[in-house]
Amino acid sequence: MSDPDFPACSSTRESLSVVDGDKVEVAFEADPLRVVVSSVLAWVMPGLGHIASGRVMRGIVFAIVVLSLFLGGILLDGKVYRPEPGQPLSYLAAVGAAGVGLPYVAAHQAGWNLGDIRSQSHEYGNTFTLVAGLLNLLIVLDAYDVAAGRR
Amino acid sequence: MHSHFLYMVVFAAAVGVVLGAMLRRELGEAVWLAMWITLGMVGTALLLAWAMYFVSH
Repeated sequence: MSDPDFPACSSTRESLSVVDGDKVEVAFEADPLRVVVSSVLAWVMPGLGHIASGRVMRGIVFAIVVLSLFLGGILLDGKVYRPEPGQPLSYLAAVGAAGVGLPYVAAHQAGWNLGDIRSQSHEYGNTFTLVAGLLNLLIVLDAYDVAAGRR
Repeated sequence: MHSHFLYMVVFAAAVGVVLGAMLRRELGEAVWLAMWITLGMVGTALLLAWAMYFVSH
């Protein structure tokens, strides 16, 4: 059963071209601006890129899951990684955690980024905030494909 | 009170739901994939934990 909430992307045009006499190749021509906007929106706020492409239910699911994971990590006394001079791995972790977009900036601005290393759930919280960012990076790639008409 | 098992299940479920929704277009297939990813992650973690118990004893 097809999900009615996942309509075909309207930002693309299909064009057919004949290759080798009888093979037909379908090419998708996407609006580049819309592809970029959807990708940026997907990074800024989880799920927004899919919502902008008309896949509302999927975008809402992504938003709920990723934001819950990120907030859950903070509530579990996890820290939100940021680059720390002299610690190269912290740069990688910061890139991953920053994948969640605006909530990453908000957490730092609100001072919720430090966590509590004495808490039993500190490492769980770290994992939650980091993986929320990494999942959203995958979602950004998916939003790009959706806007480009590949999915 | 902290439940490490609950944290693990919540984490696995979140990853499963995102990957299921991303990799499958049909709702039913997405739910199935999410369930299998969740069960697979939790089951693998339990098996590894069990194996580590024998290693430590």
